[in-house]
Amino acid sequence: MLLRYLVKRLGMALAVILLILLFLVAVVDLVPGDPARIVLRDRATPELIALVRHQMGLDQPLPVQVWNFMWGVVHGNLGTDFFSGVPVATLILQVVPDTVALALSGVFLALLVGVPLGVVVARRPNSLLDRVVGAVSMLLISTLPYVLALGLLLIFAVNWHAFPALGAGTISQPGDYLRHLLLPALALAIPWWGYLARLVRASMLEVLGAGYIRTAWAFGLRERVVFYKYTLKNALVPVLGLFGMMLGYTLAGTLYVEIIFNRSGLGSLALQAISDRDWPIVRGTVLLYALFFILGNLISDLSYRFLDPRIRVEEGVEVPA
Amino acid sequence: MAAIASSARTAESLWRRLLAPTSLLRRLVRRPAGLLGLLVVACIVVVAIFAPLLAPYKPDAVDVVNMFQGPSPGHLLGTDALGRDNLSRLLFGTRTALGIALPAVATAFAVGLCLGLLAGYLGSWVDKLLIVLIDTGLAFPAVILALAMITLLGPSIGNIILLIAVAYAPYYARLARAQTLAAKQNPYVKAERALGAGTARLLAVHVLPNIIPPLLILIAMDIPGAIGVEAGLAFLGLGVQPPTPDWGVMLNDGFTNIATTSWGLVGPLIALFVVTTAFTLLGETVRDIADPRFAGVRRRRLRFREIGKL
Amino acid sequence: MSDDVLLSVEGLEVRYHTESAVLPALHDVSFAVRPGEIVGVVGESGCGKSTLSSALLRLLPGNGEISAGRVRLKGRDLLGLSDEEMRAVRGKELAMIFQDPVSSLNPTFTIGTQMIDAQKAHLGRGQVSRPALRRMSIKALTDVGIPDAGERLDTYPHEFSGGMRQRIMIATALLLEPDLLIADEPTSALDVTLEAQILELLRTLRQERGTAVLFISHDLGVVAQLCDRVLVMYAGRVVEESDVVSLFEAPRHPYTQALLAAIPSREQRGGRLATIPGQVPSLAALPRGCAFADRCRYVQSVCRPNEPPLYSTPTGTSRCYRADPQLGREWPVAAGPMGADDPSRVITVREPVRTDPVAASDASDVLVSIRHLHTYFFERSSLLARLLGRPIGAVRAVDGVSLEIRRGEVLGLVGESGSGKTTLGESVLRLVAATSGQVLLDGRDVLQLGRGELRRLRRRAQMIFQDPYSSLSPRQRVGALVTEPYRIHKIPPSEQASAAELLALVGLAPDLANKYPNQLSGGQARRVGIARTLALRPDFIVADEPTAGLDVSVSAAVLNLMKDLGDQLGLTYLIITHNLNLVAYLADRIAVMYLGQLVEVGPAERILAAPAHPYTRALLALTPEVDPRRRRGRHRLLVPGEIPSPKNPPAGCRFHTRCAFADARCSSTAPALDEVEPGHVVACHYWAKVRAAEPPVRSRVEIP
Repeated sequence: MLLRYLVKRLGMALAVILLILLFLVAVVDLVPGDPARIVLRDRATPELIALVRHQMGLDQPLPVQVWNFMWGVVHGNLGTDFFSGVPVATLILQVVPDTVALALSGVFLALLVGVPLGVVVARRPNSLLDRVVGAVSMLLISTLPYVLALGLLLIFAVNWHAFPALGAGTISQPGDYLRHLLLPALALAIPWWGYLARLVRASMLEVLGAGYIRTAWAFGLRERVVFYKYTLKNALVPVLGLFGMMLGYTLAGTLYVEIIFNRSGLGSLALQAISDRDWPIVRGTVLLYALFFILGNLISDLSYRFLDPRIRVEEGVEVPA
Repeated sequence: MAAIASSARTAESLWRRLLAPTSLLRRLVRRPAGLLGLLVVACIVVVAIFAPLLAPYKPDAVDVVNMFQGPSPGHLLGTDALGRDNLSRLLFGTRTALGIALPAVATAFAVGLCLGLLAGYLGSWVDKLLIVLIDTGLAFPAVILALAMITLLGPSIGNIILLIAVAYAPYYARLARAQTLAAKQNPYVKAERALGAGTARLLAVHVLPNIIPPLLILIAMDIPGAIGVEAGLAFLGLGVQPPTPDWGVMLNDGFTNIATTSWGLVGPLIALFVVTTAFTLLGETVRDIADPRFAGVRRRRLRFREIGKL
Repeated sequence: MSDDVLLSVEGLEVRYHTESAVLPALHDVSFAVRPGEIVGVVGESGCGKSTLSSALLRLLPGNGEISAGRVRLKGRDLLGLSDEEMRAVRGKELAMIFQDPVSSLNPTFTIGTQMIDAQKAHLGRGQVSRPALRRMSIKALTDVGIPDAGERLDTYPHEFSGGMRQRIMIATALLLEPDLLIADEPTSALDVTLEAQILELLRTLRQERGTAVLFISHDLGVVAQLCDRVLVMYAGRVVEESDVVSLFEAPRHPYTQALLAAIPSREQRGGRLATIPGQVPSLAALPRGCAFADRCRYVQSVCRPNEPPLYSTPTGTSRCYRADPQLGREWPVAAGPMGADDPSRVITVREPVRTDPVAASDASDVLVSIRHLHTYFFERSSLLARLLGRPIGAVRAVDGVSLEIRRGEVLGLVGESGSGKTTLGESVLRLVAATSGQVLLDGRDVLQLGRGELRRLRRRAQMIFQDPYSSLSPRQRVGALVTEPYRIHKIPPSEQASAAELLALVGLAPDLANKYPNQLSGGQARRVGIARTLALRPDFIVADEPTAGLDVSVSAAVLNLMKDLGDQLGLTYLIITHNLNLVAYLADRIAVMYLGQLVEVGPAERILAAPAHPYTRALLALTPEVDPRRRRGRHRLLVPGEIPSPKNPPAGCRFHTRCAFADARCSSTAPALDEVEPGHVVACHYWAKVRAAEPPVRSRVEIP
């Protein structure tokens, strides 16, 4: 039953989140560095260190720290910025929308081009188009997000001045915002085109070899119906299951893209905090990234199971006969 | 005397195996993608080893007077902000790239394999515990993990290798676990048990050799990924620090100075592109060859409807 | 030649283009099907029968090509049609159903959608309303015996069992009312009782609608029971065609004769099965002249240079020079008996020194004693379920089996899928953990042995697994595989038999030792598996479906081998199979299993002559016999329904839900094992009635 699986899966996700919270608190103790000393740098004196440690709550015993942090997280309190005293949660909330917008548009553009491309070449395997797309896909798959972003920046923004190079624009002017969004989103989307095209192609071809497609031919169904209805639906199931992974990797990519295109976002916040050695902010942003990643995986896992009727059945016994 | 003779025989048989018509190597070079990938990767390795001989200048030879020069006969790729030769820095960069990526991936493989094998074979609570750990590990793309770890640990080559290894290990563990579970169910494992084989023998002789190949393929695909992560971290300032010659560091310099000149970016961008593509080509070709499904199918122009039955 | 021919095939040639060569898959195939006729196409694997069905529908894979010939359906040339015209023919005039019902239906669409789409494909837009299409679909489902068709129209294929799915396929195929239905091994994946239902369905459809059927199968028994005429194929050619009675009673082509003699049956008991020397030639290297010449007992010099054409015979055709009016008259008699392998070959195996203190005591003649064995598979209960106190369900695969196996005998354990027979075999050897009970091997309880003792046990009791290939580790060479037991048990080299010796034991050449399993044929792989189990000279062998996946001629050789080994080495066998013919041929005693319990055990001859349990009786009657005259008269003996789930067996007698003799008593009280005669027990309240009932149509029936 789907419900049972849902509960089980949520439980797993929760367990992972707890472990992450634990990790984020405990890592400070496990690892040689000391956030207090790090943030103070040359101004570190024993008294100041002790003071900062107290301020950061690091002088408490570990279990208390863990509990406090977890309690805080549940209540939306992720600590405070060491320098300004502003709650980390506030800072994050200010920038998260931009990151989310970027990531989602990246994924959206990726699917928009990648999937249809795969379907088209699956219709004519081993044709010239297929080979060209195959070769280009190979190149795109190995592309690194920041390499592509820098390249795009160089070509379109710097040399040709076609698109703005800096900043995110403002939401209030959607047109401008979109102009600012296009290049960065493309930088995130393009590497996926190759991967998706190949995956969709392979999936389509595999389904086309299945027994039930043969049955469809034997019943005299028309080509279009067999291809676009019977094959496509089955072939897309694994692709949709990919959504979570795509979101996760795209988020990792936003880190680079925000720097390169000088956009505000979680990544910029985090990197700035790193250069300031502001641990609470770093911790908060890492937590948020991890949460998004887990959420993405959860969604794709559930939708995958939801889409394939076979898997909706209860998982039970392994059997004999 | 006998020892020499026997080792000579071993070497000869190995060599013959390598060159046999159906050996991996032969089949690899028969495909253009594989051949290209292999050649480029070979070049990269050669460059990494012989960098001091190949580079026209020392990578840290500062010459401020000649900073920001475009390409010229003396500096094929121009110079950077401190007048250092871009080409030389680029060539030396292969050392940093491989020197970090290879150990990191090797460690991830070793650790992941052990954990996955244990989880898959022992099952029950060990497995459940490891699954949760693996899932947690999978929740962090390498760069994100780097944010936290580098803040606390500070950027050093050792830390970066550790970081990448920790970020990649869960993937190997998950794959190894899945493969082990599958191998456990395999009828021939059951048959071996029926013959009286014990756990140790089963694991060593029958399970392990069968689960390693997919992991090796993952390695081939992870090397370019690790190089990418390493350079990316350096680009963000979280990785290798200047003045070490590293492509990420060069990108950072180039990016900072993008208003002045684009030339600082060109070299490392192309280098990264070429390296990752070459390794990917190689890895993918190896994977395709190893896949038994693709043996002997003629590449005729197929209309989609007819592929139905292949 | 009557002119109301439905399908006429003349000189059909099909080729496959591969990387290395062009393979001639079909050559000079010619036959005809009349309206309402059921024509069987029979042959072993690789003979081209599947290619034939694909070619008729023009659904060959991309590298396949129909290079010559004519195919006419109702006078219309199918090969000359455009793609769109052919599409219109498919399903509407010429329909096809496939072997594996599980993969033949699209899992992501309801059966209703698929049935409606099949109809819509042949209708104009808006020609028939959707509710009307639904109604027709429901009627079709009801016609093939799907209960509650109206509600089930909107369910997904995986919610149906295999037998039901096959019916759905047939229903869909017939919705469009084709004139000819091509059935490609439609029952090969089904149990005997289900197979009988489907065959009956096909017969009824022919009778009520006049649908002709082209029935493709490797199973000669099924073909004998169902078809009016039969084609025999070999290496891509039709080698004989005849009406069913003539084919089975007086086959003309040597291949047909050899094939029929290789089928195990009750009549062959005590003798050796005929085998066909050599192997089916590979399509890439067909011999010159007659394709069967190298393996034929009648071969003469005239057979080699040129391939014989299809000669006419009084009952059909035969591709053999013996059918030639001139040449056939003075054909020399065949040399020697029908290709049996040499029975006088002496078999010995060097016996490694036993360290097992329990010597084989010949005092008692019972080797294995199974007592009250239960093997349950428990559901993986989640923590949550346990907390909530929900009962844990279990699959009761083996539910209270007690059985004795005597030294040196062959016990045949028979049952359909879901009976638990494989689990029983594995439980006896402790490859699967039994839940309770005892298994005594020479007095020692196998289930209680410690690890060291268990390992020693493995030297005495071995298993041959169902799939010949997958039980062999793909990365080891044959030589290493057969000598593996020596390494496992650390037998000193002086006591070991060499790989060549072990291979010779099973009739394989020593040079096979260097090959990998995937380079072996099915028969060779099976023999390698047997060789491996013999390395340590066991006393007891459990053989799980020893002939699964093997062609008739190959399984005959394997069965002969097993018989020889048993006789000469004094082996005791527990043979697990669903194939009653095998057991009728080979077994000394038979045990019949249903849903985890034994329903009848006794001497083979007695059970075959006069079964006491309704299930046994049905199995015997429904197992296709290679005698077309002995057709199951009628539906009386069909076992309705399907086997219930082992998770939830029926109360009382487990078979009562499908039994013709059952009454109220059967649904409340489970019968105990009753003695029918010495050594023959049965678990049925009414066994006397069963035995007194009319014998399952052993009479000769007139074939129209």
